Amino acid sequence: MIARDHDQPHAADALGPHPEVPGGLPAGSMVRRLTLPPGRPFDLLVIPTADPTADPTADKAQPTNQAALAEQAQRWVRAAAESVAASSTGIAAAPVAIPLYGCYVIWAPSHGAVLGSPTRIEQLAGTLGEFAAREAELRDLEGRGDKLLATVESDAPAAFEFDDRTQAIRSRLAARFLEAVAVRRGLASLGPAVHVPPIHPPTLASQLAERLRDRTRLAERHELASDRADFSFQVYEACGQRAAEFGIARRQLGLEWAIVVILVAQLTLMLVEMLRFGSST
Amino acid sequence: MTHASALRQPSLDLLRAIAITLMVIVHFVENLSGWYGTDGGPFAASQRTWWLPAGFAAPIFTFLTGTSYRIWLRVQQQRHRSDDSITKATVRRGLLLFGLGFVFNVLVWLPEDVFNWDVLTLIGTVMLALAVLRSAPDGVILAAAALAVALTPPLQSAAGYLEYWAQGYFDYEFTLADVTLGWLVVGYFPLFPWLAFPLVGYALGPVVFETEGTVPRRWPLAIGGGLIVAAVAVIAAWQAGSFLTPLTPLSPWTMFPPSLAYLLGTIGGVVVAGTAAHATIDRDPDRWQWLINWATPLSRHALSVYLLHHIVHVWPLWAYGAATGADPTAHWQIALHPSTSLGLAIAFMAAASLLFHWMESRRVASVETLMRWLCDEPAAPRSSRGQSDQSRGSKAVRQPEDR
Repeated sequence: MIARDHDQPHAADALGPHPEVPGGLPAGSMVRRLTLPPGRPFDLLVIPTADPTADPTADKAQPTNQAALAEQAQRWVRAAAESVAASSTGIAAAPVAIPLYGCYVIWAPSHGAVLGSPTRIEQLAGTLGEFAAREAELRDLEGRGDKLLATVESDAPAAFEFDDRTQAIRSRLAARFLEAVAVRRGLASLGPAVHVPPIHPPTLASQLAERLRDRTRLAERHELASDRADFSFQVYEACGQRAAEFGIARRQLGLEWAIVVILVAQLTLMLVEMLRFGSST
Repeated sequence: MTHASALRQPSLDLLRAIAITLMVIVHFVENLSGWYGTDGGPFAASQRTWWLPAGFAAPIFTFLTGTSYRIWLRVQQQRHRSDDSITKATVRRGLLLFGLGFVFNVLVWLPEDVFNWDVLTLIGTVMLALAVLRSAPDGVILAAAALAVALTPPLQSAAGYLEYWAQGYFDYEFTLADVTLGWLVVGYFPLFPWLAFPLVGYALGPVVFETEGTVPRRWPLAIGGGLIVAAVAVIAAWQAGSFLTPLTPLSPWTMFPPSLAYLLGTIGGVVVAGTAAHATIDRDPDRWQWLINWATPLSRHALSVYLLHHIVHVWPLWAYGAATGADPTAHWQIALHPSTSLGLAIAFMAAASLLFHWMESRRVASVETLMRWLCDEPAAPRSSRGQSDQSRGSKAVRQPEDR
């Protein structure tokens, strides 16, 4: 689910200052701020250009002009993406640029740009926003899956044997099991959006979405993330089973110990009476 | 607060130092002056209410035995020591203390008192019991402690406790029945009820001193307060003439025999004192550093202090008795004026503080060192970085409770 700023008026404050439209762009250009899961901002630069099919007398120099605009939009996306990556100490992914039927779409994880005729631009912007949301969701799930995978090895002994020492980290294991379930659930719900079959006849939006998915290897990433999540889930599920078995065994042990203590008490009473009787005779 | 650092509690050292100080004072005064002024009865005995704090020494000491064992156990587990290895070390410690108790009885209390079942044999037995009971849930251990307390009055009655104590001390025959009954019920520190203190210390110690997780402080306060209220109720019942009266005809609060009110009151008192000490000392140890500096060497060498103070005040008494008459024990409890005995006890504690502080600084071996050398195995080799990190954490807490 994505949301525009005007849908959430206070979101912009939390997500940082709204970026300005770069200079030298045609009139009507704007930057839209979308909120992607899990609460990340996505700035989309929308640059409407003249529609050559609607106005045959248009300037012949327009293709050159459009290429320059595309280059400018790409530079804006790259610079913005790099600054975001630097502030979050991450590595900036190279923007993906897709020319499509006289339009131009540029995407990076935190920024995007759409350049095209007014009749197509909204369709492309919507598709790009939708894709950015899905990609952000997958990226988030990949990160959470990686964190889980990093702890699996140290937690794996608890999947084999549970004792008093592992009992101390029971709540941590339970939290990681729940996290593994949440990652798996997220990947499962994301699956239909990632593995979309080609639509026939193809539309502009479906073609853009398909190309974006191909260029960002969304399906392969989803598959890999699912495999990793499955692996973590199996380990933490086994930990959960061992923890439950340990709890049951502890309760049984408590009962057995209670019986032993009562028997010892009874034996002591008998012994004392016997010794007293023996010593007094 | 990290988990490992949470194990190190200065309040434990302080309470143990207070217990050993009380014990020294009690033993000096009672052994040298207990029956001073026989016309007025015993100078210091359970029926003198102002002598009441003396009765807390053994309860604090035995309670902390259980708590310290629990902490020691935790440190061993953090070092990834196997269960077998822990059991072996515990059994060795138990047997050593049990044997040391007999040697101590023979050398200090003379051979005829070898089976008087003093506190060392109790702690030895407790160690052996904990080697088995440590796998039981805390609830069961508390139930066992409650059972030990509840069974004590009927056991004392069945064993004829007062007949063994007609002279004011434990007087027994060298028969299997008397020796076994002494160990179980009628000796100085028999299993019933004294087993209850270390068991409660083992089960409640982590709650009182917050060594394993954090629980609201009101829990131990409620438990301790509840036990004190129960003790008051038992005293009221005794005064009203209940079935408990014949067991302790002189007073409802007696240490020999340990009366029900005494047991409930001292367990409750130790729990409340432990909670208060933890809340005061451990929250701001820098403020109490002078007190901690005094208490720590005494606490770490409590066994040495215990053995030494007996040698220092009992052996001269026996020597003086042997030199002045046929019976070495002729001057027992009538040798000195109580104020002189008290002064000697204070002087001993001052000397012991300096001595053990010096021994700590020079790393001079003590009885505790011998016990560790005999009983403890070296920790398992560290095989991974994670384990080594944990071991480093536990190394920091080795000193206070690794005894």
